[in-house]
Amino acid sequence: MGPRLQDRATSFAPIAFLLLAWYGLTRTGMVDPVFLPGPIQVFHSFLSLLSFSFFREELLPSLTRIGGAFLLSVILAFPLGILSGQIPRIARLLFPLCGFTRYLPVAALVPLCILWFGIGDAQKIAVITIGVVFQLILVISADSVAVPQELIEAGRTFGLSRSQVLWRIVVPWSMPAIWDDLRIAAGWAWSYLVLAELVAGNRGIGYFIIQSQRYLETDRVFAGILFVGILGVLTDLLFRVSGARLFRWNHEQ
Amino acid sequence: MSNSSLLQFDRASKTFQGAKKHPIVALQEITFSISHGEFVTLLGPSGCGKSTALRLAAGLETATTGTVLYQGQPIGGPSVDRGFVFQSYSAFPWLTVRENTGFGLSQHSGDSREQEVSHWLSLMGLSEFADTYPRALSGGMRQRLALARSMIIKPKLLLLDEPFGALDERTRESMQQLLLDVVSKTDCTVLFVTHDIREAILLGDRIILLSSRPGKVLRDVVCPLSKPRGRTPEFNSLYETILDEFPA
Repeated sequence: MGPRLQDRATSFAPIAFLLLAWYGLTRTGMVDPVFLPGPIQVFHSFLSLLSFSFFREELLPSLTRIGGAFLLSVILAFPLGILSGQIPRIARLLFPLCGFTRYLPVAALVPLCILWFGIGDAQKIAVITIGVVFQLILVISADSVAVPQELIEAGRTFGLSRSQVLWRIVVPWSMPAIWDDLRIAAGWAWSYLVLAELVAGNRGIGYFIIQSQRYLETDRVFAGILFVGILGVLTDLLFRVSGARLFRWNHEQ
Repeated sequence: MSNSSLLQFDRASKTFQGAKKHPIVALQEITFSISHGEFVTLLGPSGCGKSTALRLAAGLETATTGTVLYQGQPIGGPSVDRGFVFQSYSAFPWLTVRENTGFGLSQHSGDSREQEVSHWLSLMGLSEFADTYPRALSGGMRQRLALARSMIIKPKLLLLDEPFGALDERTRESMQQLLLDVVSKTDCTVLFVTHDIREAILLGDRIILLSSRPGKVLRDVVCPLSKPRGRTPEFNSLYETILDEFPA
């Protein structure tokens, strides 16, 4: 128990230090609360966000956008990633495009997305999907290509066709790694969502943050950021817990 | 060539494209045939191409020149007729031992399938591990699973690629015995690849000795010893004979 407690204290120390420094700095009155409100004030603002109207007006639109975009990305990237990992010709077809596109800063594409999709949900979904899908194809492909050859060959000696090999061998073998990639991709999706909502908004958490900034309600800006952070951690946790349950064969022992 | 031969290599060669387009001849003009019901061991030093020969028979590779015939027909690809047991552990890790065993039976319907799986699990001494995942199994258990998974679909020809190479001495001996028992209960023809002379004599009714790379057939001997084969003087003298010719 002793050492574990010590480990936890070590992990918590930087956060505690930051909070204390933040508190101390704002307490002295050296900093104008318009620029940096104190942690207690931010905490109160955060609590005030936990209301039905905030959930309906800001959280729900954000969740719908990120959920839709994430689903769209997975629907596109999953088959393309699996196929390009197993069929060199498809990899040749997709990799140069993905390799180029994933280095384009998504922020630079936001103006185009506004031009093409307006400032509604479609624009947010487009920004997130463009940001996520190309990278996701590449990482899923890397999982699919890593399937041990003898498992594929074993499947073939049982008379499986090429498509059966994909469904019965490649997909189940790669799923735990793909699940982990989705967890990481969900993190990217949160960033792109906030980016898309900051620049062109009507509702949503990003919109809430930028609106609060316009009215110099800096405590609410902080509360919004904190909220996004917590949602990100929760998404991460959801993937970890469900992954450990779904893929017991990979996690046991 | 006789009609009774199940598998037939006719001047089959295999060349791989090595690094910098440098061709590597793995097998050179191999000719031999195997009849129904035979238990043949394919013996040779490491890297002599014996696994390649086995993969040609399975349809996992195709011959560069020459032909490999199964029941008189050229082999176009893998088939459920020809079971394959790999050297490395090839159980599907996401399936339980039971599900792995029944993998090749997936087209079959419920009850008979369940029964068949239970039968093979108990035959292989895997019943108590039926619902665990392969990663919990020892090396010997994993190869029992691989054997069960291949044998359950009743292949006409069973191909084994040094299946017991990674096992300790004692486990290997019990696995050899198990294989002989299981095969004797069926009319399965066996081609067993090994680099171990004793194993080749212990198991094979016929021993085909290959040279070092590129692999050529050095000798094709019928094992005169009756089963079960102990360490008798006859066993040892056959061992000495083959050892003398075994490529360095």
